[in-house]
Amino acid sequence: MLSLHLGLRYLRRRRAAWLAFAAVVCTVAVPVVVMGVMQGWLEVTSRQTRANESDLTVADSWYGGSVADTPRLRAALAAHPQVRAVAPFVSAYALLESSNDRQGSGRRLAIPCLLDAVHWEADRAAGRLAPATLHAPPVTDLNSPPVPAKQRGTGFLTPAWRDHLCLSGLGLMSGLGVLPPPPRLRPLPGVVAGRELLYGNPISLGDQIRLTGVTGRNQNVIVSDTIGTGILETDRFLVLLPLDLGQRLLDLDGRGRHSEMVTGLRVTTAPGTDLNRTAHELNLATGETVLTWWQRRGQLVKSLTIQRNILGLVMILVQVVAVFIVYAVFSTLVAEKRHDIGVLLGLGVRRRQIAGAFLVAGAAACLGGGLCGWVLGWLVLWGLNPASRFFNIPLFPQDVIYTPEAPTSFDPLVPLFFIAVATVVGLLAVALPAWRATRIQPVDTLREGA
Amino acid sequence: MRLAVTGLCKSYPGLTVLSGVDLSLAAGEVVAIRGASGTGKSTLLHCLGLLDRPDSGSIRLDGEEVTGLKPGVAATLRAKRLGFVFQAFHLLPEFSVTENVLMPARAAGTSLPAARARAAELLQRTGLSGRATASVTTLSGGERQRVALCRALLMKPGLLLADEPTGNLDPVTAGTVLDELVSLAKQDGAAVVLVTHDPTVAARADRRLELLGGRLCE
Repeated sequence: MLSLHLGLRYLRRRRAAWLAFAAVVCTVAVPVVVMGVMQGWLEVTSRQTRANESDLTVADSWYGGSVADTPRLRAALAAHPQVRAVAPFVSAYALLESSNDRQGSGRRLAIPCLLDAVHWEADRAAGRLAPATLHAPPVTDLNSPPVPAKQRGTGFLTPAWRDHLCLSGLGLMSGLGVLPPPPRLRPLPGVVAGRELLYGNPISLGDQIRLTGVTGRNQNVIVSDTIGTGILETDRFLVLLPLDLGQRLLDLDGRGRHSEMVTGLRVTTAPGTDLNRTAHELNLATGETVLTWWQRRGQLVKSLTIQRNILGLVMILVQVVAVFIVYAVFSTLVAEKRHDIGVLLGLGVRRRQIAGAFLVAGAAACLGGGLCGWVLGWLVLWGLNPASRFFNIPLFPQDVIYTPEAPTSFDPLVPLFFIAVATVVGLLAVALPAWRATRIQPVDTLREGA
Repeated sequence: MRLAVTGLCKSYPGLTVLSGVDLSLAAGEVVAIRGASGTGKSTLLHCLGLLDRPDSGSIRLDGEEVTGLKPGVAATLRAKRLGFVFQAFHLLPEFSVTENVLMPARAAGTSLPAARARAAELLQRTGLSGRATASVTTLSGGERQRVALCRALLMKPGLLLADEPTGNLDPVTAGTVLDELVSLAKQDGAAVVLVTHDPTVAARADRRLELLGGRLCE
């Protein structure tokens, strides 16, 4: 009790003690801001990666190949209690060609793209193709206006197909039945292109493009919609197309020597599922390779986690610098209060109470400073993007991480961790001056004051 | 409290300060110890107050041997049974008058409400009740010494050790403070060892001793 009384009073009345307090505020606020942005970046990347990847994927191997999409395999997957949905897909690189020549250069566009052929409804049921990602306006080219709803399709449904289906429906309703349409009237299939692929190249919604698979097969399609997954490398190359079209382009459609093949099946599991365990169980049940999202796409998240941890280590080292400030402040404090300490010892205060007083003062400075640093750090974090917008200074150039705003995280574990480090480090810094205070001889100080 | 000192010796490298001091003191008795500067008055007082260890000899408080006590036990004894008044007051500038007076109670870990009542009573008796919440840095020399006196008497010590208590005060204030010291100590039944080189101060004591050549003599 006496230690608390003395410690808090010394902390309150000595200006030098406020320097230690300020040092702790800074060495907590800075890591809170830096790690808040780093953690935010990690969370955004992790979320985007998860949004583009199913929980589990049944594939021939981790690098590709193909598996037979059989009813037996689907039944085996669906029988697992943790499995909620299964969606087949075909994925491969292809050549995208367009005859559009907006700039009049006379050159024909031919670029690589990443095909992802999906069964639309099955993928929606599996939790992919969230509505928010569709019809997304471009980010990297802010000068391209969003396309009005009436001019774009919906998913794979192009305006031409919409009209065609409407006419067929009217025919059915009028009792005439579906008239066989002339061959050239059947509209081309629609594909959904990554928004950056579309707006970064001379291709517009409604344009006809040609996709050529690695087998040499090709197909003319209409760009019916855009998708923005949030990952630049995906949105620059992705072309979603109907599953059967993808199978045909890649010669997986069961004609010739192949049965009905797909690159793999995306599996959605119940929330909180142990993915590694479920993957192992599905592997035993089906005999196929089953990979978790972490195994397939976890590298980026892993590398960011390593970066975050290294940055955290650097921040801890920054906090260690505060040791010297806290040590200097408390050494000065002990030297200044040498006479008072002698008097207190003369009055019957025990040496451990004297040491306790300085440790209490140190702990209070570190905890109080740490809490103030937490508040300051979060205020800076909160005002980072508004300030960036106000001063028109992009903190994160969008061509680097795809967003002009700093991703921020307000995870309380980050400030709590750095407050704990600051407190431990601060107490270590105070320990030596506190020990020195207990070595003071009251007789010497009382004689000096006489 | 009865104090019995026998054969107390203390020396520093190359200098013998106390060489066989004998002293006995009854409860409520005031003894003045005179001596020129450097004769060892303060050293004797520090030994009696368990702040310093004698080289040899014995100090008994109420018959209990207190030389060679462990530091923690000696600190507790100082806080509960001994009182100190110094020439330089030695008040703590960060604390108010009342907080300074309460410091021995905090050190001893005794009940604070009771100590507060006792502090208020002592401040009342020394005419400082109006300055109870003031900072000690705003007090005059006489007021500071009264605060130091209240602090020394807070725990009703059996032995009050006063080292030149009026050394920094003018004669009028010194006389007032000394009167208060003696009367308050006698009211509480405390034995008082008063170290001074001033004959007028020594004259207030029941018994006067002189420290000469490391020994006490009448």
